[in-house]
Amino acid sequence: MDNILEIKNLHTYFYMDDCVIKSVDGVDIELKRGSTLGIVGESGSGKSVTSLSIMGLLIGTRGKVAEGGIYLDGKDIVHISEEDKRKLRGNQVSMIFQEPMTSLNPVMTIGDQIIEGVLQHEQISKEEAFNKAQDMLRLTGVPRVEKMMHEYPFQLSGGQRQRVMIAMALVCKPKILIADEPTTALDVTIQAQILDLMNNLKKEIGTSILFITHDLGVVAEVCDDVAVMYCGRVVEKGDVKSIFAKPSHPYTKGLLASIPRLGNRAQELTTIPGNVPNPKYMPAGCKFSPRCSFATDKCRQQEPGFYDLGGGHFSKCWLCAEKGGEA
Amino acid sequence: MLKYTCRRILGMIPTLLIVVTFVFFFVRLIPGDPARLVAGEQATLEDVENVRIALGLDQPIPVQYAKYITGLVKGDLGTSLRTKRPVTEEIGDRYGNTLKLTFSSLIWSTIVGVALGVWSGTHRGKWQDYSGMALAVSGISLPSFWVGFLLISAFAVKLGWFPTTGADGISSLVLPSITLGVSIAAVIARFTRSSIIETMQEDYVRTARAKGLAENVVIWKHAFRNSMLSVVTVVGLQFGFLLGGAVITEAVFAFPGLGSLLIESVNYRDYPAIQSLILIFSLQFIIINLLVDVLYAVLNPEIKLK
Amino acid sequence: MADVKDVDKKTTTPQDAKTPAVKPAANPQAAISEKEKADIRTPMSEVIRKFKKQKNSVVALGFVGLLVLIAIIGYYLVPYGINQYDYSSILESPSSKHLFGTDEFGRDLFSRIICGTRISLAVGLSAVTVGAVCGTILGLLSGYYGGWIDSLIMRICDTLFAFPGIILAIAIVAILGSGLYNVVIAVAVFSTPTFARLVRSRTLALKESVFVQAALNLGASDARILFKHILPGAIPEIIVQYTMSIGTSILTASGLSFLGMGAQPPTPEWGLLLSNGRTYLLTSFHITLFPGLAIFFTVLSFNILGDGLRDALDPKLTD
Repeated sequence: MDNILEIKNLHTYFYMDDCVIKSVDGVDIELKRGSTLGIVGESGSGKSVTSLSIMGLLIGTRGKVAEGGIYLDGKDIVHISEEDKRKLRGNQVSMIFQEPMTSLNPVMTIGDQIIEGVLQHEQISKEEAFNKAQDMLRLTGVPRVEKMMHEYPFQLSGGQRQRVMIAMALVCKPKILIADEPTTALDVTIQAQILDLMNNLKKEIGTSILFITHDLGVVAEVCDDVAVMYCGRVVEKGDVKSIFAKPSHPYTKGLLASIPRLGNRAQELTTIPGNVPNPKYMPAGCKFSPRCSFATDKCRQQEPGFYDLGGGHFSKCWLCAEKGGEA
Repeated sequence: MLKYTCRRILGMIPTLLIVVTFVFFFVRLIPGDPARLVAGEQATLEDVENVRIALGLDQPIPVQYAKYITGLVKGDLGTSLRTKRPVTEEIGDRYGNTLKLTFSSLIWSTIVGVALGVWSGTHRGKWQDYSGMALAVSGISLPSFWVGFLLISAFAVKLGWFPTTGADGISSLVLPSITLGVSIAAVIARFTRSSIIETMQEDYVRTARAKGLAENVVIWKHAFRNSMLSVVTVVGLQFGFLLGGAVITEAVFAFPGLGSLLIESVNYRDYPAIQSLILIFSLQFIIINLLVDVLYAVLNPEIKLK
Repeated sequence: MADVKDVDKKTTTPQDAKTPAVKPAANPQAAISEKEKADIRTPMSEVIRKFKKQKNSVVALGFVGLLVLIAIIGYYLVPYGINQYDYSSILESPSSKHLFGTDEFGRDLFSRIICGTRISLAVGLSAVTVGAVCGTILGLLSGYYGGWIDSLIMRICDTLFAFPGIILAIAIVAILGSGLYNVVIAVAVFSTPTFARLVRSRTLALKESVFVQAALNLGASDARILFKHILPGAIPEIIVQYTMSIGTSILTASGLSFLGMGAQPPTPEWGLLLSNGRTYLLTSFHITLFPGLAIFFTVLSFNILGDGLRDALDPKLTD
């Protein structure tokens, strides 16, 4: 299987008045064609900034891709003109966001908002665009599609708005859909429906999905592969089964251990001690070492590289050397 | 929509009545005896009394009030003590001028103000923002009478392009409307800027960019379209002020509008004229507020459909 | 899913996991956490830092300070008296003898304008202070107690807001008579509703906040809550509005003097000085130019200062 998207050694920095915030500091990710890759991490881990870097949505902020490259179907999409980036957005790379309640323009009808995206990228008539939009909206399973096309966002529920967002994102049949915590703000039951919808549409349209979340349950349900991020770096990646069955990096282990389990006697919940470091004051060496119960002196002084644990499973931890992985 | 509008109109009437009553009593607090002013310097006490009776100023205040209100309902605003003409005629003579001045000032200042505000706001923190806002803050700091004089000096006196006073024709509107428009454009620019900065940070703007729309479309069709609601409110407020408050500019240019009529009436203690003018001003203000509310409903689908 | 504990047992670490991670000198991470601890940002230091970043506001603050200084000691330092007639040098253009030229009575314009500073600042500051105090009290009462007090106060404010400020000021001056004291009253009256509305809406918001509820539960009196808990929360907005209102009040006061309703001759009030200018527009432009510049720069510096304060105090404005 080849990779539809490759991120190589991505460094995205924010240049503030008195310091530089290294939100993404060395990220390597591969998204296989037709699959779903989950990116897991806490707030501040750099997962959202990574997706903004892919979309080219850093314009207008103080962020810039300082180093590294992003390749869509083999083509560089970072070192191209703003105009070219704009042509990709909504067209070959689409994104949906976490807050469906505020992500739609309150003074435009649903139909107009979807059609707008279509007409931007395709040279077709308004009627054709309208039909395309309506068909896509129908695919998302909303009731009374014809009525909804003329309604305003305030008349829709959160789940319906998210479906509209999905329709808007997929109407031009993009190669990649980036979903940044699309179900976090929704009820659990709606969450399941949306995840189902995304899975089905993925197959129908042939999009590959980059699914960003902090919820490991969702990852287990929808993702084929996982990349775990911490402090702007990928600390472990591999296919879902290996990661969940044999987590290697202490952070991954900690994340999995902190999921409360049904059936266990109610005891103290396991947590990862300490806090995510302040981006202005990053620790030296491995960024997780202050919180890691297995940290060695080497961990605190030198940042590890990726160890290949076989089968596409990689981990960034000095301890892998002892278990026989190759760097 | 119609119900909403009618309800608002009905709500206006009590407020109007309060204002009228308030003004009626207020005006009689101004020191000075109008009867004496009308009768003249040489008049004897007897003459002044006769004048007072003729003007109906000898009646007890409640009677005067009742007469005024009943007159209002019939559309009679009383007779000007100063010119002896019906107040409606006095106002009618000048209303057209004030309207012309108001619209010419409002239109250019709204266009310039909005453009400047959006330009500054979308380049926040860069030179466009600083220079735009430098212009705007200067605009609200300029005394209008000074601006008027500078313009007269440069364009009317030295260059002779425009007349210095009066209200005949378009050329006499130019300098006064520039004078008036400067601070209005500045206020609108500042307000639009902060509004556009806010709306540009909204999530739906991020969505619009993610769809690959051109930046211009994102700014105007998405962000500004949502800012329009509050910008319309500010413009309406300025409109209300213009229709009655251009007193200083009218004085500078000897422009025969409602503002200078007010000053003349105050100086003369011309109660009927003062009362009616203030009534007109507040009526205008209320109507404009109503229009703004209606416009708001038109622009905001949430109100329109509820 | 494999039991995580098994995986843990298999990895052996050369170091006891319970050893504290801090070792002086050998541990580069300790130095960083020290720096982090020193980087404390209190709300007040943030405000000052943000204010200092805006250079134009700092300059404006300096200019305002200069104006206050001039207002206080200007009278004693000017070269000529404010009413020093000199018929031999009427309507002279600016020169080294008369920096801003002279007026139609030969009076030195520079001296008159310098002394006018005290008048404009005094009028502006006193009018807005009165308006701010009255408006704040009304706003606190209105927002806190609600009910008929709120309706009454808001009705009055709405009525006052229905008129352009200048019209209201003219009406008040018409009743009370012309003169600067009455101008101060007039401006105070039309400034009050602005403060009342502002403080009222802050009060309404703060009334629901947790610490006010807590204070109520502890049995604090209304006065204590109003002055110790709610008022401090409204202070930033009051300060910003205060600064901006000074500019408006100076413009209104000079406007009224220009119309002949404010200061009377021979007071060297800037608006009054300007009203002479019309007659000599072609011949002695300096009579129009300098008083206008004085008004403009004074109001400008207060407005820039107000903008700077507002940006520094706004919690939403981060980098």
